[in-house]
Amino acid sequence: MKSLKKILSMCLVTAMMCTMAACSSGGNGNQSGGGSGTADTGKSSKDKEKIVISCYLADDSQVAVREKYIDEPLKKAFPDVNIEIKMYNDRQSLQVEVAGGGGPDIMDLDGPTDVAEFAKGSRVLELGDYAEKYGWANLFYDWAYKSCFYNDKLYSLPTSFEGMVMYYNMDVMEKNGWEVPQTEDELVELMKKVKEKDIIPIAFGNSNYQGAVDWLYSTFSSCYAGPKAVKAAMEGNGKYTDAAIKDAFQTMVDWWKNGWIGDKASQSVTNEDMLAFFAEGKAAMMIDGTWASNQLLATYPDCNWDSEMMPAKEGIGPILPFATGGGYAINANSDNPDLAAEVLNYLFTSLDRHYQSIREAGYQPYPLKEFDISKLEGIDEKLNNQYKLLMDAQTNNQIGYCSWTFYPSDMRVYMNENTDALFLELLSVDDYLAKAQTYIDKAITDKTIPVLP
Amino acid sequence: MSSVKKRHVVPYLFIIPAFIIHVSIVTAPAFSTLVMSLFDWNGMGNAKFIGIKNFKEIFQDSIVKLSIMHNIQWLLIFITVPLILGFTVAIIVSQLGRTQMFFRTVYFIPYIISAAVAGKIWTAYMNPYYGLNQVFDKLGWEGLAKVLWLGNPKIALYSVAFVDNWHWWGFILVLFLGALQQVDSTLYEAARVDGASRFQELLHVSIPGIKQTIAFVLIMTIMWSFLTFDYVYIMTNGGPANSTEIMSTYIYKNAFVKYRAGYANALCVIQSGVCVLLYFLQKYISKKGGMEDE
Repeated sequence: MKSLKKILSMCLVTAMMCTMAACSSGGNGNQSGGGSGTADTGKSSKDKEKIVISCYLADDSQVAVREKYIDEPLKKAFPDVNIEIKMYNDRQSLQVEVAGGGGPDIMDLDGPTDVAEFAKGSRVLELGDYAEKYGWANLFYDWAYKSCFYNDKLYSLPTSFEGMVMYYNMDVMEKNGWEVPQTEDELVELMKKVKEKDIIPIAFGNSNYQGAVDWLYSTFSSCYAGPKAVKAAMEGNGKYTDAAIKDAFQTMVDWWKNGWIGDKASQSVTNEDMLAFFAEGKAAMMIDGTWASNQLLATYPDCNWDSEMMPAKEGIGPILPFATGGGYAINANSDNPDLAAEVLNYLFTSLDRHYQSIREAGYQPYPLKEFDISKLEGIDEKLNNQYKLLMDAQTNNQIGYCSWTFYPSDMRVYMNENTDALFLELLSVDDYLAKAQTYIDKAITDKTIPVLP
Repeated sequence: MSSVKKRHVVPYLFIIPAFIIHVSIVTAPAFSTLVMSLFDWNGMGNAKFIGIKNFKEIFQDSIVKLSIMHNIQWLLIFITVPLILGFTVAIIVSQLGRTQMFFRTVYFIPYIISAAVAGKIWTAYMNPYYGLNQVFDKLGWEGLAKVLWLGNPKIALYSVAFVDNWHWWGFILVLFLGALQQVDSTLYEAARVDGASRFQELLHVSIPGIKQTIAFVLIMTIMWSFLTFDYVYIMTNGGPANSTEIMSTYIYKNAFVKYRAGYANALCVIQSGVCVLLYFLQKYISKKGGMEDE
């Protein structure tokens, strides 16, 4: 009996050691996880090279759309490659996987500020050689392409092209006989009238995502301080504490305190509530990104809305804060970086597929020079108008700066965490801007300040 | 090998598998946290040794002070409200006959709801436009109808603590109820024979009879109060304006939002240190107060 116990315990220990050894030597970090889709044909999976592309969490309908416009075309274009689209429940899972030396070959990251952190950790490849090989510098708009540089090196390619605009609920506007304001003064007058009618002038809520305040301060700094002031601050020729920027932030704070933005309750309202308040007429306007147009069309098809640039400030003119919504980067641990670059190049050069995805599924357009709005025939008129607005702003150099593309990462984190403190009078505009300036100074010293167009 | 030696070796062989797992997934990561707290590390790339610089920064970080204060507030709430409520209701429910199981189940139900679900539900209840405020408005309670439960930095922490209490106190009740049922009934009979009142029974029979459970609940409450994360993260994410920031959410933000994993590790070390300190403090007080055996 005693020897049986001993044998049993020895077996347990051996089994444990074997299991742990197997765990430590297992795989290259590219094993497929739940919620992933694989596009493969022809050769058996073992014979094929494999490329894993990360993507955001999506529901079944979004996955079906993605399969049609991304998975299937990739499968046709690369029949001898086993391409897997791997969905990540959250950004942390991807970050931890990459930190552990694994992760997908191509990573869909949150944009230049996010990519910069991966670049600091040498977790993404420098794409300079590939850019030269495929001519990427000529493929993208300069502002978008340059935003992907960190420390003078290219680390990602911009995946979408978006901007901050003012949405108007036209039913509310028309019912009350209100005109769409063209200037800041007209907007102020309108907001007073809207408030008198017990309607929220500008819907806003960030209780489920505090960082949504960057939609506001990106808009106010760009449109009411002006892109020149912001650019000067970022380039060290001015300060983020300069009067123009301070006034713009003070305007934002005053509007919030007047109940014009978010009804003085934005910290209790979610992004979804904000959209619902706007769509259902509880609010007359909404400062949101161009991405919200798809949400409005899909969730509130009966909502009669329009979008315009933020009403202009005298002396600055109409400005549209621009951003790239995301960035594709190649994992430094990828076994097939050349193939990954080829796949990326395919995604950005297969324009028929891209136009189709915008027309039929409301995908955001890539910031490509070749992007031709006339090829979006049949698209919803409101969306078409919005794309025209984006293109016109670009052509007329009315470009502003969204923080998630053009601000140093730690500055943006600070501002996202502390803008509510401005609204709630727990922090002064002066202190807030002075602290923000310290991050700019640090980025300039480190030579990691983003490039502003 | 002699039979005595064999007798000593065999138990260890059985323990080794669990020990290896523990060392691999608990001890080693814990030790690595301690080591990484001495590095400047963004969580992905190469780490740079910076000595105790992270710890120096912690002592100058106003959000850390704020977070610890919030944790202490949280602790004070949780060491009183659910314990008193759970104990009181447990005493009442323990007097019930057939219906005891019904009440025990009803009170325990919130505990089996996941924090994510409960947090989301209560966030909706606390929405000023369609939540409880609308009910208060209909009832004519204008003052309550205007309260921003999660939006007012002065009360947001208490609003979240209320929800966590709602979830937690049923569990405490069941623990106390189970302990009360273990108290020898003859002790109550003896007390009654001696002319003890209900309150004296409670004071001299019930409480001493469940002192081990009280000590256990106290120590778990103290530690969990400093490790709590879920409800704050789900309902307010530390906001508005850091008014509900606690150590766990601040650690999380540093590790995954600010890409300051080295600093987050240093915060973890401080958090663990505070928990250990509180553990020994509680043990000492419990022993002095006769809650635990010497």
